[in-house]
Amino acid sequence: MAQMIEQIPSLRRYARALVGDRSRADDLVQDCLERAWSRAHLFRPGEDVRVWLFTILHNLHVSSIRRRRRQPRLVPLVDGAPDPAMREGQESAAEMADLAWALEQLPPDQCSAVLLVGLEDMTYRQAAAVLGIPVGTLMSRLYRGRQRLRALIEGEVSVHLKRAK
Amino acid sequence: MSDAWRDISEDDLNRFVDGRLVPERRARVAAYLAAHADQAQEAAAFARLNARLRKAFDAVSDEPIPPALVQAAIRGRTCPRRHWRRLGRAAALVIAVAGLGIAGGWQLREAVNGPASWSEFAREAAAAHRVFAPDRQFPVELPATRKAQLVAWLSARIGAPITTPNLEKVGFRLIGGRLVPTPDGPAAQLMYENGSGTRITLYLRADLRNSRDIKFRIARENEVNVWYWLDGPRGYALSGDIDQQQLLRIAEVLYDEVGS
Repeated sequence: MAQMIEQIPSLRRYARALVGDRSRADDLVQDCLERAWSRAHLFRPGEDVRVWLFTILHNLHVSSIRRRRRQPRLVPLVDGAPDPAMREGQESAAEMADLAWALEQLPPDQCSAVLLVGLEDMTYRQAAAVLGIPVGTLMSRLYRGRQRLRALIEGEVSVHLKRAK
Repeated sequence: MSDAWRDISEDDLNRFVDGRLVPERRARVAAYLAAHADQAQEAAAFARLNARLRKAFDAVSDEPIPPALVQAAIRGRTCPRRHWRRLGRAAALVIAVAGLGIAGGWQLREAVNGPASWSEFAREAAAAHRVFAPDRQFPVELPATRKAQLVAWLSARIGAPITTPNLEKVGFRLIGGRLVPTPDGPAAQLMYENGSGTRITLYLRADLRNSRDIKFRIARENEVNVWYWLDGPRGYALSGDIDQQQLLRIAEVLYDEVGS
């Protein structure tokens, strides 16, 4: 299924932004592809393959969040070696860590909306279909998610600091 | 929002940022933004977010696809996952090591000295606060009554002279301090308490290799608020289980006191 292979790079990109960690992200994509095959009989001809795959990935992600919430969370703080994907012109490791941290702070439903539209360039209709919500709901999650992310990233307050000297 | 702009909604702002407006509507929203500075700033910030997300993650979609994923897409089933994952990890390690070699000393130093980012620094501070501030028996290693010794000891251990800022004008009194381990070496923590037993902590490091200074920022870790700033190799973080604004007032006094 060539169409599935075509979607892998963008599924990986989305998963990486969603879960942060490289191997967890690829596991998620792999689960998604396997699930897609086992559900292939449910795919209707003419359906948007991209939306279909992202929907499966989204549902897997949501259930893994639920599972993980029941376990104590151990988050690796510093990964030591820079990500092999790092290269010139890309964000520095520190900036990446800050962005990943900020994304992690977002409520999952807002995070998905921000990423599907902002990173994956989906239409609002596609993104809403992936998340299984009405377009209006998507729009407001998107807006709130963006506000929150902005506050987290630009969390620097512009208080005027006097120096006693 | 004034009546003249009643037709403009949050959705328009989203659509404007994502380039999903027809030209007429786009012009209308642009006119609205020209007249509303806050919303214009918000739109600009949203656009920067989109750009930043792409900049950060686009490289992932350019990476070669792991063979296991291609197989999964073709057959839906793959060889046992543990196997390829181990291979993948070995490959990643080789690439990472090669990358380190190429990037040379700078990046290595960056990776070795200091937290990976400012948020990491704030997280360390919050963790230290959560562990020691609630302790009613041994909150500090050296009490404020032995201040001279405390200052000399902490300065020697973190490798830079420290002072014990006076926070009495905001109602907090020094009760002492301690060393806190970090992955890179010791950090110092000073603890203060007010009349009602509320404690705040000042977390200090002097070994940061941060490329940029950070002005006041707020972070929140569980119930702990942290105001922090980085000044060259020095990092300061004030943590407390109290209201952000209240903590900010103390942080401002502190900032003047340390006058770094």
